[in-house]
Amino acid sequence: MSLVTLAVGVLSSLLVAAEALAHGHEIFIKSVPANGTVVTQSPARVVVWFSTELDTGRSRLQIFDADKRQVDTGGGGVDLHDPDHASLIARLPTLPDGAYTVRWRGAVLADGDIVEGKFTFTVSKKR
Amino acid sequence: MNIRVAVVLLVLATAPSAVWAHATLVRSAPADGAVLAEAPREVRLWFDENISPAFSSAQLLDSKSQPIELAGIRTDPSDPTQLILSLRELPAGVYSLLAKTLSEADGHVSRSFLVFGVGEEASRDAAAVVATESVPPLLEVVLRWGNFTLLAALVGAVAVLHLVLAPAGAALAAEPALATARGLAERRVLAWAFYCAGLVWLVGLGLLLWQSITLVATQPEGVSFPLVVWQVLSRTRWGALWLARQGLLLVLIGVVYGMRRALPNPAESKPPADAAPSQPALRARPGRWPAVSRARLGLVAALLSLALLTVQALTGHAAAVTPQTTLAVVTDTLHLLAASLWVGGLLALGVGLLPLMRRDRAAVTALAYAGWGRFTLFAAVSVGLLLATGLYSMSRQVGSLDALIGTLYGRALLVKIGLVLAVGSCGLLNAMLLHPTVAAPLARLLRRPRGWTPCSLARLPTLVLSEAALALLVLLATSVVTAAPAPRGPEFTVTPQVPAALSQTVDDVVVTLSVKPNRPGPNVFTVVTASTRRPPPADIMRVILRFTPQNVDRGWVSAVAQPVERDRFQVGGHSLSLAGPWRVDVVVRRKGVADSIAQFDWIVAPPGALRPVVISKAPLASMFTVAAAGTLVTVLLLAVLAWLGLSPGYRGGGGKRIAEAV
Repeated sequence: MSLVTLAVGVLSSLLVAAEALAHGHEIFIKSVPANGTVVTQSPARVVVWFSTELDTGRSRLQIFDADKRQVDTGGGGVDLHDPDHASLIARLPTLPDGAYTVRWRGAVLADGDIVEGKFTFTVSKKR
Repeated sequence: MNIRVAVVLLVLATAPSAVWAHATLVRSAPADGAVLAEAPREVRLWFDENISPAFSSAQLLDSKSQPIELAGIRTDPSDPTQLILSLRELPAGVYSLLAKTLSEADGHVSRSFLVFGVGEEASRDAAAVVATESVPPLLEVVLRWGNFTLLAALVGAVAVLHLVLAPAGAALAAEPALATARGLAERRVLAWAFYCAGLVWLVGLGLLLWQSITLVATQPEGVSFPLVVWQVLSRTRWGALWLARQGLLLVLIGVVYGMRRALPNPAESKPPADAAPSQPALRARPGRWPAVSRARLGLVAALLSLALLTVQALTGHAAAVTPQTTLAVVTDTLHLLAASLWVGGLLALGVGLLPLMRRDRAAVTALAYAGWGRFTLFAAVSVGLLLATGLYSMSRQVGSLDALIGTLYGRALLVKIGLVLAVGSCGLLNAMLLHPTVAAPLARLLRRPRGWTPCSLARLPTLVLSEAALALLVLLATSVVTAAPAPRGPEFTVTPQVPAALSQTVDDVVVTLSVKPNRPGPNVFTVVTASTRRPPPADIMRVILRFTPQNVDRGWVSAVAQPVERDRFQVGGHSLSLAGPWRVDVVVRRKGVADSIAQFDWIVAPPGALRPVVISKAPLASMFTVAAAGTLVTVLLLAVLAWLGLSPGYRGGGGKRIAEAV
C-alpha cells in the first residue's frame, strides 16, 4: 500500500471520528447552571436540556466535587415532569464553595445512540 | 471462458437485490371507498414496487360502466412506485378505476381496482363490475410447459453426460465394446441436448411474442406490433432477461455441437487388431479434439446450464418477493436444478440408453451397471431438494390455507404436489427393483423372503416410462402455477373481522386505540385512557403513538396525539401507509411517573373488499419456512450418510441387477 493511500486512509478515519464526536454534542442545547458560571447561592438542582427525546432507562446526570466525589442526591436522570422527556435533572443538597463538575449521559430514544459530556460551575458565596 | 461464464452467473445471481415485488396497490389518493365533496383533478396510486411506465395503463368508468377519458397518465420520476392520473372535470357520481401495471420483477401484468364517489356514497354495488381472478390463457400455459420440459431435458442431458456417462466411461476403460456403447450413448444424448436446446430457443421466441401480445392491450391505439416488441426488449426487465437467456442458449448450442463433433467417430474407435491388450481403449482414441478440452467443454456446458436456470428463476415469482429476494431466487434455481436432474436426467438416460438395448444388450446393461447407481443417488437427493425448496417457495408465495385452496395458484400447486408424490412412488419402486435392500423394510413388513421386489425387473422400462410421463404432467401443473398470480398479498391473510378498536391494560391504565377508516393512507387515531386507580396517580402530560410495519423493515414513525376531551386524545396522519400487520405503541406519559407503553399488534385492511374466511387466513409463512429448513437438513444428512455408506463397488450395484436379470 502506498504512503499516499495510507495517509488518505488515516485522514479520512480521523475526519469520520471527528464528525461523530461533533455530531454527538449537537443534541445538547443548554444547562442551568451554564458552563463556567459562578453562582453565589448553592443551586437546588441542575437541569440540562437536549434537542431530542431521551431514553429514561439509560440516561444519567451526576455532579462531582473537586475531589471526584458524587455530591448530588442520586437518581439524576430524565426529568419525568417534562412532557418531551428531553431534559435531565439532578437535585443537590446545600453545597459548600468550590468547583463542581457535572457529567451527563443522554441516550437518544430514536436510534439508541449514547452521547456523553461534562461541564463545570463554581459556587462562591463571597462577592 | 469459464471465468467469463462464472462472472455472468454471479452478476445474474446478485442482480435481484433491488426491492422488487408483485405490483399490488398499497395506497391511493382518493382512498378506496372515499366520498369526496369535490371532483379530484388527480388520482395517485402507490404500488409496493417500481412499475414500468411504458406498460402501465388505467381506465376510469362511471356508474354505468361507460369509460371516461383520462387527461393524462404518468409516473413520478422521483418515486417510481407511483402512478399519477390526471382527470378531467367529473360530475357527481360513483366512479371506478381499473389500473393495469406491468411488474418489473416477474413480467406479470397486475390489475388494481378502486372505487370513489363524488358527492355520493361509494358502495361497491353501484360501481362497475370488479374484475374477477383471470385464468391464464391456454396458449401461455402450453408455451410455459414446453419451456420447462425442454429446459429440464436440456439441463438433464448435460448433467447425465457429466455425472453418469463420463464417470461410467472412466470405470470401463478396459472394455472396447463398452467404450463403443458409451460413445454411442454420448452421441445420442448430445444430439438430444442439441435438439432440445434448439427447440427451447424457438419456444423462447414464442414467449416473447406472447408477452408482446399481452402488452399491446396496454398501449394506445395504432401502435405497431414490432414497436411493442422492441419496447419489451429494450425497456422492461423481462425483455433484458429474455435476451440473456436466448444468448446463453446460443452459446450452449454451440458448445453442445462442439462436444458432439469432438467425439471420436464410432468407426474410428475400434482399436486396431494388433494393439496391445493392456492399452486402454478410451484414452488412446484421439477423437477430433483432445480429451482435456472435451472435459472443459463439459464443464462450460454445466455452468451455462446453471446460468440458464438462474435466468429462468429471475423471471418467475421468486424474483418478486421482498425481503430476502436473493434467497428466494437461489432457492428457485435449486428447485429447477433438482427437477432438471431428476426429470431431465431420466429422459436423457431413456433416450440415450434404452434404444441401444436392442442393439447390444450386454454392453448397455454393463454401462448401466457402472452408472445407474450414481443416478439413483442423485435422483434421491434431487427429490429431497425439490421438497425443501418447494416448501420454502410455498412459504413466500402462499399466504394462508385459504389462499392454497381458494386460488388457481393454490389449487394447481396442490395438483402438482399430488403428481410429485405419484412420481416419487414410481421412482421408489424403480429403486426397489434395482437395489433390493431398499425394498427390504417393506419385504420384512409383508413377510416376504430376502431379495424380494414388488414386481419383476422386466417391468423396469415400463416403470421408467410411466415415471417420465407423470413427470411431464408435473411440469404442466408447474406451468399453470407460474402463469397464475401468487396469492401472497395481505388480502389473503387479513380477516374481514379486522377490529377497529383494541384495548390493553398497562400499569394501571386501560388504553383503548381505535383507527378509522383503518385503510392505508389517511387515518384518524383515537386513544382513550382510563386509570383503574382512584384517584389516578398523576395527570397525563402527553400521549404519543409510534408505528412500524411488521413484515417490512421501515423503522418507527411517531405522532403526538392532542387532547380533545379529558382522557381522549386524537391525531390524524398518513403513518399507516401499507396494508398488513403493524406494531402500534401508545405511550402514555404522566407527570413524574415513568412512561406506560401499550403495545398493539394492529392489522391495516388492504384497499378493496376483503375476501371472507373459508377455512383459515392465518399466515403460514413461518411454518413452511421451518419445514423447509428441517427437510433440507434431513436431506443433506441422509445424502452424506448414503454416500459414505455405499461402498465403491455397491455404487454401481443397480446395474449389476439389470445385468443379472436380463
